[in-house]
Amino acid sequence: MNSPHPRAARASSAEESGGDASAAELSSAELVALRDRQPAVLERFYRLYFERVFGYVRRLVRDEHTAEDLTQDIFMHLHRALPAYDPSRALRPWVFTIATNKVRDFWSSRGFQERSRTGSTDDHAERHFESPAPGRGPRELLEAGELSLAVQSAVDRLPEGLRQTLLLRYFEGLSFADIGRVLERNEVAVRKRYSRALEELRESLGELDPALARTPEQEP
Amino acid sequence: MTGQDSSDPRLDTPADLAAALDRLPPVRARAEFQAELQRRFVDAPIPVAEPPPARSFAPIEAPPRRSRWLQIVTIAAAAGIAVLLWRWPYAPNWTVLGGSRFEHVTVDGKSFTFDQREELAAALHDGVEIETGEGQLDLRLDQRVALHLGPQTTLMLVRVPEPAMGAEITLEAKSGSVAVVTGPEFAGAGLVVRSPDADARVVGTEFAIDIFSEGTCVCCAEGHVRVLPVGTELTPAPVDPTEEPDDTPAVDARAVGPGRNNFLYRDRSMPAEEGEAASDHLAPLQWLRGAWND
Repeated sequence: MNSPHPRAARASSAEESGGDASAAELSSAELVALRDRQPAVLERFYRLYFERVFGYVRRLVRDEHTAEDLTQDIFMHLHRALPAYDPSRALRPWVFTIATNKVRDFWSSRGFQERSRTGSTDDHAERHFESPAPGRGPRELLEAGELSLAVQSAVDRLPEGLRQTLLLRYFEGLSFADIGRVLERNEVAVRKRYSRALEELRESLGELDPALARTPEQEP
Repeated sequence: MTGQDSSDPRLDTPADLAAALDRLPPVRARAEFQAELQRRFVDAPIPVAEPPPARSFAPIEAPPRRSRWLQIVTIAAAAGIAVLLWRWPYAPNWTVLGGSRFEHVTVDGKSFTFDQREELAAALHDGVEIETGEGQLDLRLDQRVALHLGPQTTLMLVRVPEPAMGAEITLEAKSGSVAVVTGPEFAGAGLVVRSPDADARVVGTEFAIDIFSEGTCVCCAEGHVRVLPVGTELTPAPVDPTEEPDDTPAVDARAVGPGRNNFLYRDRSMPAEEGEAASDHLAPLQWLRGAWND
């Protein structure tokens, strides 16, 4: 059976944690209130965006402590920048632009450069996380029936630029144009990055069991 | 890929890969971190200040055509400005606050009295060493950081970059005590305070470092501070699964949270100790919090 898209799953999660089940994003009125930093809307914004921002950052940096530091920095920046936010503009690209800039600043920092194995912020640099299953690649994990770990391993192996594009497009549903603004690339380049990300996932995972893609109605 | 740009990314993704991506395990943050950050974000608003300039979010447009001569003149002007700026180094904007009295404070051996606060502030460049002797000193670095230096404190201003660079501020406390409060424009700056025993790395927080003959105590009042033995890598090097494990103790990179402290002994064979923050170590922070009000 097809799993719900991660964004749909977040809407359910928001409902479980007391959020508005009918809206996975803030309404126009709430966006105005957000700019004015009204506490109730700040709380709703935090509930909607914390896991998404933390998850995005955590999948891009090496360790949880750094992800926490960056996430804190991002939310503090958001709080300070809210008075300048234009409610007529989409919120999600704005949030992820700030998050992406903070991650980029971290990658550019002298401390990170000294710690990095490659010492480069090049998009093709291969900086991998500690594997979820050390010593086993995505194919081995697939063969062992550990699909979730295999997918995680494959995503973690993507170069940072491709991983960013994949996360913003597939998990946040940003348009290629918006991703271009976030990553400071043109739309064509972003489309190419997304294609390359999918190609590399395919190379890591191989052809997957078609049963994965069946909807419940298609089950025999 | 279809080339479409719909709101549903599944239309751009092969069905089996989409189904696989849907199986990606969720990432969960520590519950206490999530709760603490929520409290700071929602319940304790940061003092209102002009946010730092946001990066451009304007639509990408093709640059206008320019004549070759105009391009040459523009490049020459930019080069001239760059030379001018290079010859005009950044001078940090320090202010000596009037809260703590002192008779003499020395900067690189040169003595300043309390009435010479402006001259003292002007002398605070990268690389200088401040000694408070019997007195105490309160400093503010524009809207980024406020410091309280207790008696018998020696503090070196290793590196204080200009705000636009986004680089880390580096201070080195050689003795005494230093209390730190970050300000409205701290976000994105980064600060590390080194002592003989510990590096305290800051992300928007309030904390105090007190140096003793036995070691260094880091007390945190607000936010969290990551404290490591001096010279330790923040992130452990990736483990090669083919190597035999050794007996090197794991680096404890946990954060010191609000109301807690961490004492790192100078004798490295003694493990770090955690406990409640000492009220007398945090006392200077009460006054420093008002450093942004003038």
